Amino acid sequence: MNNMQLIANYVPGKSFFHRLHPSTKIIWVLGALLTVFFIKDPLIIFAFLVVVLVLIKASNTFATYRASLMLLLPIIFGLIFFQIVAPAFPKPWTPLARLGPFVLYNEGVYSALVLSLRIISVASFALLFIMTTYPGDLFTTMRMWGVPYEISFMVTTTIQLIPILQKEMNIILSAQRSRAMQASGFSALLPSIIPVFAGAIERVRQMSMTLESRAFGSSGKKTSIRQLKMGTLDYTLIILTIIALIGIFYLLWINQGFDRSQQMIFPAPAAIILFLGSIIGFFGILVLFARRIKN
Amino acid sequence: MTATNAAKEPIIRVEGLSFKYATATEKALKEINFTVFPGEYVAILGLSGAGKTTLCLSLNGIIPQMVMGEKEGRCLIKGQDTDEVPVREMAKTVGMVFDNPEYQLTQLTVEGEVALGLENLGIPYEEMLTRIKEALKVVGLEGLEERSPMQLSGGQQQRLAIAAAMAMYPEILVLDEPTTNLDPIGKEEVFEVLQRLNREKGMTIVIAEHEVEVIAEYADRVIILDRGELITNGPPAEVFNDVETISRLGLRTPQVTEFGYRLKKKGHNLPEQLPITLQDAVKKYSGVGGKK
Repeated sequence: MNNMQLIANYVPGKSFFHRLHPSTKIIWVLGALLTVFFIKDPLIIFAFLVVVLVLIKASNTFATYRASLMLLLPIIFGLIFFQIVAPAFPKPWTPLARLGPFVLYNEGVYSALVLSLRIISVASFALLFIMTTYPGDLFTTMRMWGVPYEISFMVTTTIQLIPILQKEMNIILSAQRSRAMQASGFSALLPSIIPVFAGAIERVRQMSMTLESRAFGSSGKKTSIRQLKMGTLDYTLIILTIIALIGIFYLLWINQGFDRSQQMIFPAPAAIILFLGSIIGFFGILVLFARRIKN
Repeated sequence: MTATNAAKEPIIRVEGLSFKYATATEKALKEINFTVFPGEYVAILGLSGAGKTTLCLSLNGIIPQMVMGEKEGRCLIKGQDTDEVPVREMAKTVGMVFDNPEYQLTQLTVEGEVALGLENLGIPYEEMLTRIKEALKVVGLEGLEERSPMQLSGGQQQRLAIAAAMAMYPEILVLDEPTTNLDPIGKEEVFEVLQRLNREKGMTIVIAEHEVEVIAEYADRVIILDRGELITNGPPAEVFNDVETISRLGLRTPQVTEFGYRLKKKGHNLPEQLPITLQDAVKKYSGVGGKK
């Protein structure tokens, strides 16, 4: 309970990804975001996701990642459900099966796969970035790029605030439990949200006062205790990434984003399984969350 | 002190300072006037709610810049108005230690916490390492560099906050009840550290504190606040000898002074100026009861 981890934050380590300069990683995340959102073939996106998972495993951040992914899953299941019955595709849709009031469409299954894989893979890559980047380094990098102080501050602080909010949540749940309030399941979660946010506002206020008192964001040259340098490896990787991105976008252009929505025909049972799976998955995750809070 | 002060410019000049929090009906500070000269060690004494924190926060511009409310009067730090200079620039002159230690730790490691201020001042890497080492040694946290501040005890967190402010070598260090979570020995240590900074580096120190014994021993000057008003401002020997005023405000004098005061009331012949520290008391009271 006390180390209930909902959202990923920095995981200290010395892996390859930890050692890369944040600039390199930011370019990768932005590149992946663009690429994945133009690719329309679920198989390619799936392959990309597998690569990301391997990288996460190699960075020793898989446990934290898995915990944060839990938060994303209800959204994914919801997305699959709605896409199958009402695809984000131009009509006419090809019906595959009928389940009570719901008609399941082939285009729906296709777009459900593409959209959910896109979200999962990009989110995973972004999480990998957050988990392997020291928040202070992110701030330094953003300032180096000329991002305004306020925006750099907002981004960095938000990431740093996550563990604080988690702690606050646990304190409030314990306090409610010690006052004999129901402290398990979702009914306990709801009344604690308001105090958590009220507490969070106070925290942020105090935090900004502290940071300003330490001359954070003041004028003049800045130094860093963390010797943050763009290595030869970083420069090489950035150049290679840019070349690769140009290549990828050329391929995407001539292949029209590998759109296979017309070729891929899904069998009706697959659509039904996916559809029911999304409903079961959605509620399953909720039950799992509720049980985790209980323990 | 007074002789040299005449020649020096005050480093802090508070003129008619009043402040009312946006959510409050009454003013937290009413018409405060005082000056502090470079190298002074000033203690602010008062009950909870007397305005100590408000006064401390005014000294680097957090009030009125980051706290909503109505401010009147001026607060000048080295001639610069706290209304005009952003807190982050003022931080180069005024170091600040807040009263709740946990909230003021923002970094992932103890080392990073102390480094934060130094990074923002642009201190070169090598010197940064020396200063961090020094600051952590002074507050007794050496060897914990890689620890997360969240895993420290309350007292350790408070000392870390002091180290972080101190390492920036500010000309003025303002501390708002920095020893509330410390045990008696820890308190003593903090006060000794502050005295050393004051004597050796000539750092001006303004500290809000409850503990009268330590104030009597270390401070050059005591300012007493009561419900937002400045009641007294003077050297501790003078302030603490006014036992009536102090007890009327619900505060305490050092026990040795109280002791002398009560004896005097019973008709004992004691010096006009009562001692305020234990050492002084031993000198002044010896012989009072007669020797065996």
